[in-house]
Amino acid sequence: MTWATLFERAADHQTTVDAVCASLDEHRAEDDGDA
Amino acid sequence: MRDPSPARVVADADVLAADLLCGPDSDARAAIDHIRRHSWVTLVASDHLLADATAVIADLADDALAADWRARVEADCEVVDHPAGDHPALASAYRGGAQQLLSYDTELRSARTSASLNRHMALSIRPPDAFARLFDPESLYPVVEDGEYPGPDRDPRA
Repeated sequence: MTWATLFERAADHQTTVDAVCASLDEHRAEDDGDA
Repeated sequence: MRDPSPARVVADADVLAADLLCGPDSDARAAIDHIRRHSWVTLVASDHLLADATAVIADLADDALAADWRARVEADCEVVDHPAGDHPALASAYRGGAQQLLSYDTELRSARTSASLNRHMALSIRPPDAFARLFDPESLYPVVEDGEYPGPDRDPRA
């Protein structure tokens, strides 16, 4: 699959950097909790 | 462990996910496009780091897009190993000889973190907008390859 196709599919889910960072923080906090 | 090189770059999971999800005008897209355009610039990542980005994409988009993204990015990057408890971006840079790390994490980019890290490794940690603005392939090319910079040699959308 090309990057062009991935970017096209991702356009339907476009979000903000803040949302990305919040999701990553949450995910890493869960990982830390599991460790 | 690889020899350090300024042409080896780690993008933290927030930057990788933002490249995909924050649109064509995002800083992350501009930064990662510099890497995609040049075959002699290596994106370095661990399984842990890719798993983090995949989880973010699955959370904010869907599982199918996350799985397809991971399959595509793995073909583009050099995957390195590190212990599970290490910070995925820092450990990827350390193990993979990357001298550049892109992250939105202000704590990671703090003066205290930099001072502590630079006792062990020469690592420049920047937000993607700074990397996108300051990346200078004409200056970097002769440092890591022979001859003059030939221009971009890859299609960043392939």
